[in-house]
Amino acid sequence: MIVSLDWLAEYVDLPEVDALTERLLLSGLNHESTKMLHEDTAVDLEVTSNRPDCLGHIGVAREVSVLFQRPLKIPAASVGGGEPPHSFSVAIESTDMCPFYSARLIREAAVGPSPDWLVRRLEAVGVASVNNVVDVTNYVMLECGQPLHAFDLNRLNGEKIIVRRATEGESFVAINHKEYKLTAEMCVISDAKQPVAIAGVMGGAETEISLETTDVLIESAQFAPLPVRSAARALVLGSPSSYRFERGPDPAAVEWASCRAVELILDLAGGTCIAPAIKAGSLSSSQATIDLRIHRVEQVLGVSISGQRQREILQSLGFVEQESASDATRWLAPTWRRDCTREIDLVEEVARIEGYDCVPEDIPISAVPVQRSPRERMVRVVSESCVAAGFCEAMTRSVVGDRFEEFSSPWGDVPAMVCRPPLVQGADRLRRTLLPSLLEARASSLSSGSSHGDLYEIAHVYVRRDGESSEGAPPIEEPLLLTLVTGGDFFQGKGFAAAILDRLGIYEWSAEESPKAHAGVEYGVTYRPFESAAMTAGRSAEILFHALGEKSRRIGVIGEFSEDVMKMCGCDRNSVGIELRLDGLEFTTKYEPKLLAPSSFPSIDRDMNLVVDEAISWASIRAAIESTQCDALESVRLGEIWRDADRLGEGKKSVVVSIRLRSSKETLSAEQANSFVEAMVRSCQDHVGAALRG
Amino acid sequence: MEQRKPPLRIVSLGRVYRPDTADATHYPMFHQVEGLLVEPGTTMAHLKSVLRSFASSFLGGDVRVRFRPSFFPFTEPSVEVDMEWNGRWIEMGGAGMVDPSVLQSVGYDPDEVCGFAFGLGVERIAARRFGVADIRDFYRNDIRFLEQFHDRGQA
Repeated sequence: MIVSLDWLAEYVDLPEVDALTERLLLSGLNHESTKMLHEDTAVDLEVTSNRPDCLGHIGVAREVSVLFQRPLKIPAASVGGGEPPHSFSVAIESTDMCPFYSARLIREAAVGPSPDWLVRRLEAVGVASVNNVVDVTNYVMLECGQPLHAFDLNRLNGEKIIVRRATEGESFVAINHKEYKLTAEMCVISDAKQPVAIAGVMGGAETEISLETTDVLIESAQFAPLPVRSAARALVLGSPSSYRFERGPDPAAVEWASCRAVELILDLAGGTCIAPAIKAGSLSSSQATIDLRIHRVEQVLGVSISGQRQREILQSLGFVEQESASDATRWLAPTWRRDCTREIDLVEEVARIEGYDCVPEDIPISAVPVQRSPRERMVRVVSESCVAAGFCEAMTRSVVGDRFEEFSSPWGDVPAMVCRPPLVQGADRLRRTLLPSLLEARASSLSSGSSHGDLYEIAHVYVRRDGESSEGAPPIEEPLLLTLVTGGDFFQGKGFAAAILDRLGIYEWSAEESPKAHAGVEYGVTYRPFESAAMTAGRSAEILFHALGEKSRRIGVIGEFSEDVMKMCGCDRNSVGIELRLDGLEFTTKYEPKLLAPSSFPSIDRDMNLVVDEAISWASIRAAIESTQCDALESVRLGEIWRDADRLGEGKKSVVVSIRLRSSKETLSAEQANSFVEAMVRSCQDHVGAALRG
Repeated sequence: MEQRKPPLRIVSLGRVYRPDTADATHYPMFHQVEGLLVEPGTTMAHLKSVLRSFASSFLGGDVRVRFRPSFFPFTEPSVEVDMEWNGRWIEMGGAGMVDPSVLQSVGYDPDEVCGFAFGLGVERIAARRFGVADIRDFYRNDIRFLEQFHDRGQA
């Protein structure tokens, strides 16, 4: 709502402009901007949808008068005299859409340009001048908030106005000379022949006021918000009039506005008015009666405002005291404040006029001990690990375009859910994996000259379950994923995954067939080759989580992206992706380590040079060594692998294994160490066919 | 709320969505910190004090907050919350006292318990604080942008 200060000053003495806008800002009319004009100042105020009373200069003036305790001057409006009754009639067929309609007729007016003062005022608030009659209707609407419409009386057929529901498909040419197809949800003003206006939204081209017009019908009516709203939306025809009717103008302004407009037209364009007004229906005006308990204000605000002050504020706002007891007062709400119906509404009125600065800001709430939830702790741990490894946290959209659909998700095969309307143009799928989003972000970062493209994100994805599988389970799963993209190869990717899982206390198990409690922890992971169109074959793995007594499950994938995916995401540099499913791992943050006292005895290191078939994995060699269950075995490390067909034979490799032995009870002798190592070599012979190379 | 009796204290931070056309000040996905406290004796003074504590610990120093009347469907009175930063008021978000109808609809007696609620816009506060003119920058994931906020996470 743009307010002209020159205009506003007609109704109330104004303070200096900054003091005015500051006070209005703190009492509910948010100050958007101030524009200095030649002889005026235009102030743009944001009016919330519950305050249609402030969609006119008088309403704003009323606020100013209350806030600065200055008298409010509203001009009287009445139309006297006039010719005897006439044959024109008004009928309302759909009272649910239009409770009340009034028409005043003016004959022999001279339509022409408006005087300067009127042109200037309208221009100040951003309304272009049309002619003196149309300008008056706009002026009065901007004065009191009640929209009006002026028809060329002589172009109305059959000397009648009928307010009715539009018929489906009925056509109508509006003032903008565009044709609209109406629906039965809309309300029209019709003459004896055809619609001449869409009620409360826009008038028609056929009956608009032109320079040839001599006789004028001024409409002032009450239209229900919903039909106005649906017509304005459906036809994309929002107007200052529809904006106000959607919010509900003051019922008492309907008659005032009609008289005011006629007075101004007679004054500016001459002519005579045929009185009295022709009316149909009855004004719907429900004024609430509200009891306000004096103590309730303090109960809500936390600051005491005296009963006397409450009374002053409400009275100045136009509330009328009905009955009073020592602890409560009954108030009648003014006609223009239909938003006030309950006690809490009055508390808010008292508070906003008194000003929220009166509310103290040093009243603590009682302390309650809280802990971070296991999930919060888990997310923090993994997030810190990623940042420590040099990754930047990314945030990508939860919806993706359909091309990412081709990127299969490790978390479900059912096609992605589609969001209607699309959240973003071209992106309407709820994503099932973060990998392509992050790869795309990596590609764009690299191509814009960033020093690296190492990104991670922690976010939910949305996976539909198969129709049959879920008994009582929700149809949608929302896995919480941690996803990383970086350069390098599969092994570097695996290293990052293992480092993050280590921080959660989840270690690699030597072999899933023989789960062994690791330092008292009864769970662990194994890595297994993984096939996916998104990843390069032979350069990708899935991470399986095992816990004693539970079925193994996939908690992650690692892989070098396939060429197709790299192309799709516009990435031209080596990239590896890691995606871990965090939900379900929260329990790991509850794990508390129990001390294993470090041994005070020296260690003995031994290397074994084992020759095995090419197909034998390091994991199975380690498992063979660990299966000797030697208490003194402190660590097993892979030293190196080398191949030499001449010296080792075709299809063989040499694996150097570094063993560290240490007892917690005694200093190991060389003989003891030898016998442990011999047992380990035997186990490797038995399990993986290894031969010790001298 | 239907299944619990007061007191209730909830803070929830997460992604929210709105079918907006993306421009410098709008994005269809953003983050909100929502808070709800319902217990006997709760007043607007508690709301203001909690938000002031948050503003002070977030921005550092003794930060003032300001309430401007507003309108939201689930709170009454409703306010916009500003915090004072470097001599300017910056918008934090919306807040208010839980509307008595909301309390009634979950079976609480509004004369017995009061509550407050707030919703703070994460991007909006961050944009003002860190001089980010285009909200879309938060979602471009450009490393050169992200790297500038390395040490801000755990402040």
